[in-house]
Amino acid sequence: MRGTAAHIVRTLLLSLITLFGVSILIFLMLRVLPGDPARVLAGLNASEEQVSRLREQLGLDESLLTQYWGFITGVLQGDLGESARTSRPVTAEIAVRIPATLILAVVATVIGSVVGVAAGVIAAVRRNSFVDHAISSVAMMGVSMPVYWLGLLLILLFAVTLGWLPAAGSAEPLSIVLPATTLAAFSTALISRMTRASMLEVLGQDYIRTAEAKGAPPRTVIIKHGLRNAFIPVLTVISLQFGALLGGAVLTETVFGWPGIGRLLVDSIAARDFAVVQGIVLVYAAAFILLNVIVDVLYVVVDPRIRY
Amino acid sequence: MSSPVLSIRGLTTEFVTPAGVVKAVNDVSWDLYPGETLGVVGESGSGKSVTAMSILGLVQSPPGRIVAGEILFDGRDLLTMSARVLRQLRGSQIGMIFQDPMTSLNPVLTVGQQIAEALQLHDRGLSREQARARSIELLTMVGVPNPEGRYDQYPHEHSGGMRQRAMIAMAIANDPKVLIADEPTTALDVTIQAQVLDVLRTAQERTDAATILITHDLGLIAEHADRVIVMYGGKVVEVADVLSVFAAPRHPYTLGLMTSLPRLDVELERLDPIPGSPPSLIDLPTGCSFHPRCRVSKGRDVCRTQVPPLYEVGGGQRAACHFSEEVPAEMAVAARAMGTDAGNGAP
Ligand SMILES: Nc1ncnc2c1ncn2[C@@H]1O[C@H](COP(=O)(O)OP(=O)(O)O)[C@@H](O)[C@H]1O
Ligand SMILES: [Mg+2]
Repeated sequence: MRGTAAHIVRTLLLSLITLFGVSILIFLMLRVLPGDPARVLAGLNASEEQVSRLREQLGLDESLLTQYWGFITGVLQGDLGESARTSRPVTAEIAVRIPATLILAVVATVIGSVVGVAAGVIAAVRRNSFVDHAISSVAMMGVSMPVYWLGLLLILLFAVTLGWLPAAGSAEPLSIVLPATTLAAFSTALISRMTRASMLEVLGQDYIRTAEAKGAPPRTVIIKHGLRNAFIPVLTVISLQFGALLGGAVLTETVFGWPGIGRLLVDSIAARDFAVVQGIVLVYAAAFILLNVIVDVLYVVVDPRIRY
Repeated sequence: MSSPVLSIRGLTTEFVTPAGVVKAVNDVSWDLYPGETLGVVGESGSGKSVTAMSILGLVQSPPGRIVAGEILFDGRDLLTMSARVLRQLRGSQIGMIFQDPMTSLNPVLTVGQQIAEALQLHDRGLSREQARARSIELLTMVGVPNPEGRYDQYPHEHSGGMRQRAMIAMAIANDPKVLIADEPTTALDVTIQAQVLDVLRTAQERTDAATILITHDLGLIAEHADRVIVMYGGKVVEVADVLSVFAAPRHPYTLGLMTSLPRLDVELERLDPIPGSPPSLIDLPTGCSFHPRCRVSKGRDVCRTQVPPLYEVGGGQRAACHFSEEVPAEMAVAARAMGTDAGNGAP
């Protein structure tokens, strides 16, 4: 366990370098984007004078080095700058949006993991049966259906036609059901396929035969001896999916009018609101690193052979 | 002789494969008596493991299926009893030790948990502490040093020999009446094979289990078995007690196994392996399936046309050969060729 703690400290220290690299990359990428932020912000009818005043105000007339220096020294003090659009601190803009994104990602991941693992186990245990084929077909649909299409379909059915669930927004507790389901569809499908493959491999192992030879009932063989081993590669998929959901919920958030960080990112890019975009990307990078550390610890818990 | 604990009658187990139906076990019958060690010997692929898996009801289906026969344990047919009842016998009345201890233990459970599980599966009333204490006793019995510490370790922290000892502990945990050891030392380093066999012997003596020792090594049989079943191409070709079989094998295949056995008193290059390769179990040779490799047959028609039954050849010895009486003479020839008295008792 001490090795694991040292590993985590090492990972976190190394990730500081990663974050530094990310900050440079996103900074430069934004500046090579076509379109002058001052002109975009000032609007179509603004005079040349107004635009240059705005440019000065935003510090965009300074050299890149000076601009970056200002950005990174701010970051080190926990200051991500101000939004050009709203003039509010970027940290405040992000903080407002994080809970909605986080809850959506967590709920979708929980749905995806529970349903995906259960479906994968059933498919593996009943391989080549009708149930297995049915699960495979649904999973196939899950990975190939575009998110906005599935989202619109669900809205049409459950909100418009049946009127059971709210179509958009986040005002009611039930509002999360449709966006979370939409978001979970892909993960569920992916996790179920991974679980099935992993289970099939594990169920063919010698130690499964040992468990059966001991007289263990099927449930014990499948869950205690099978799934505990099969879950190790599935954990990787789940964590990758969670990471993707944190960052990639843009379409779902748009379709369902969900006030998450994905929409803030898209809107900010469109408005050339550099400070907000930089801030969001840095927060994402930090979140990914944290997620990886958590997963490293989980590996140690589920697989005794892994020690750092 | 007392009545057998386990009787196999006409057991036939097949595998349906794309290439055809593999007759892995083909009309096999034998008895296992209380307290004895029955050696089952034969080349790789002769159906030894499939016989063991058939007894435990663990033949994968599909592709496997038991198409005929009965396996009587305590007078009850294992093949027709319900899955639940059979499960209660597995691991309690019939213990099994597998070939490869590196892969036969669950990597994510401690060795101790796996032994304790064997106990608790068959004794609901056993508390965790009791199961632990008993498991540590078992680990001590199979000669695992520092059993308390070893209990909490995972399989990857144990050597092959230690793991196989743990497998033996698991198999004898519930004092089984029958212990099946399928090539228990084949996967182990030669230097620890003897130790593990000693442990197996001790375990067997303590529990007084009738033991089926499956091996491709006739030398192991000589040392550890009381009686021997020789399998070839899914069939039993010879049954005898160990002394008789080494003094006078009555099936040419058994003789072939003996002359190909490495011995201290025979130089390696003078060993005499059986020519040819094991038969295809999908398309067995006609008549006696050993005839294409047989040096006793000498091309006689009956070997190609008639399947030899297991003939009684005297002294409880039986051999499935049309010319079993010619085998001892052939052995003398082989012995002269090897420059040793191959026929004089066990190695
Ligand atoms: N699952 C399976 N599918 C197809 N054939 C099998 C299967 N298991 C065993 N066999 C075949 O059955 C025959 C006997 O195998 P086995 O009993 O394992 O031999 P051994 O005497 O070496 O233990 C072999 O020819 C093997 O190919
Ligand atoms: Mg085998």
